[in-house]
Amino acid sequence: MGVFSCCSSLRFAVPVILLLFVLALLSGFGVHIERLWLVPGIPLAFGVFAYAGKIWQYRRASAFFHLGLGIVILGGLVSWADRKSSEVSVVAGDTVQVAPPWLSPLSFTFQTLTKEYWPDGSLRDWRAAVLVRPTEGDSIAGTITANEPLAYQNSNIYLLKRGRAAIFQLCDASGRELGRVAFLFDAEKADTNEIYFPHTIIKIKVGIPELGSSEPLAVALYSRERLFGETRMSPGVWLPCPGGVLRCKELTEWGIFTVIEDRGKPLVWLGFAVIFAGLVGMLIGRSVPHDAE
Amino acid sequence: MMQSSIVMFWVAVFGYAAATAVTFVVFVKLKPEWERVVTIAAGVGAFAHAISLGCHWLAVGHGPYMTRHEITSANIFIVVVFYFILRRRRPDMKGINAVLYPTVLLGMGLAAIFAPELKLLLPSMRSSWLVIHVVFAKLQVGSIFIAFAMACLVLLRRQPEWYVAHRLPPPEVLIETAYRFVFLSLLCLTIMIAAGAIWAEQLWGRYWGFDPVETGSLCAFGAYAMVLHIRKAYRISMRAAALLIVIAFMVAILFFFIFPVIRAGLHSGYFI
Repeated sequence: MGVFSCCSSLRFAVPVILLLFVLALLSGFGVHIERLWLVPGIPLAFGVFAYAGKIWQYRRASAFFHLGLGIVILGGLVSWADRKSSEVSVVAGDTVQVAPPWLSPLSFTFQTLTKEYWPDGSLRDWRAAVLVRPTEGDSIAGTITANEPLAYQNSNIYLLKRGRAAIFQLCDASGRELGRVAFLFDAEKADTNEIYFPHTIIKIKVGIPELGSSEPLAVALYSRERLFGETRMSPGVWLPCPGGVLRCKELTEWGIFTVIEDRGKPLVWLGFAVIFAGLVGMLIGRSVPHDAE
Repeated sequence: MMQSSIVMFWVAVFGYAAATAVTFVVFVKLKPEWERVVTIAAGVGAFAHAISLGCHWLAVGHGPYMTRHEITSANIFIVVVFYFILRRRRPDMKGINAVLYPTVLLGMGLAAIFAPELKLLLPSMRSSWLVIHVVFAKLQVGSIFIAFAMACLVLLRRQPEWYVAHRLPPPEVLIETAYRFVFLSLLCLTIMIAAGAIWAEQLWGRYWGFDPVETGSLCAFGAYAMVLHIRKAYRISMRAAALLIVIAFMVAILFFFIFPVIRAGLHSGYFI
């Protein structure tokens, strides 16, 4: 391989890198061009493969590095085109039916959320116990923690968001339960929901106290956007409302779980492995003088 | 322990400040024989800096990757360690003092702006991939700083009357070494991005999220790759090659140190 072909392939590489740089720069400055990555993505991947092929003869480690880069770009494109995800919000102790389009329907139970705290009150660790029951086959009981999703068939289940939930029970004047409503809190300290009593719509705003505080929940009731009552409620307390009664049933945990299947991911991991092989080769291999190429 | 860390941090700042001041005196030919004082002052600074980081680690129970103060301070320490290793292997590189110590002092000033905090480890931060991500981030910052210092000196050599011009190896050697550090930086950046992607996938279920700093690291990757490829493809002059390294360094600084402050994202609370 002569100097000319080496330099010409390098000259081909420069505008390709420039394109990558400009796209990354635009994304970095907040221009939403995620979809644009597909346009140069395919030629970029094959350009990198072609370059790896050209330098294979005299710089094998570097060729591995570029081959890995190409595989990573391809994996990214597969992820972009084929990544599937489905979200579900569940209160601890509840079971919900989930039907991600690429999986057979399953019932998902969020059993408990265990938390540990540092002495200063900041969160040290959390652990969500879940149970997945497919329509066919055995149930899978597992634990999801930070950095450790639950593997289910070809997908992974992550707990992406968690917080506290206040469950309220709605009863009519005779005490018969009409329904339940959950108020969910994560970073927000208040949540609002509308409740349909017979003949009345009441908007309820519930504020949650600071973590560890023994203060009861702050409850404000609105009818037609007009505040008509404010009170403090702890679990078990009843509050008369027009058309029935409202009871704070319990304070518990809730979470948003996401089921994700990403077929591009194994390709990206393979690409990283090939890049790593190239890096090791570059570090331990004999360097080729520039003029010898 | 935290108090000891703060005290030793300031001892390190004074050590680097003394090294910078004496370098300046040497630089303007007032006292060339004081070069030894520069090394001693910087050595004292680095020793105090190491103790400061160690005390901080013991106080908070985790490595320097949670608050801006500890991250910046650790990055600067890596730069100094890289420089000491380089000086041991290449004693003729002592002229780099002229650029490196002022840069180190500025970095320590930046670290001092952010108050040291006792921030305990979050559950999401407990991952061996995060440790790899952070270690290689620091190594890449350290190596690009050294490459930048060398590139600046290649540019400064055009002023032959400056004392520093006579305290350096030939520019060909200087630029070749600078390119080795850019190459090392690219390798470290690649591992940093890969480890960060694996960690992000375990945590959020996606390995890439177009976070400003994620795309910024891709920009830096592109910039370093461009520096390496342009030099070989076009056989540019040494001055142009040095300018390219300076530009790549600016890109890295912009995306790793300035972007997390001005743009909200997953890395907003941190520096690389």
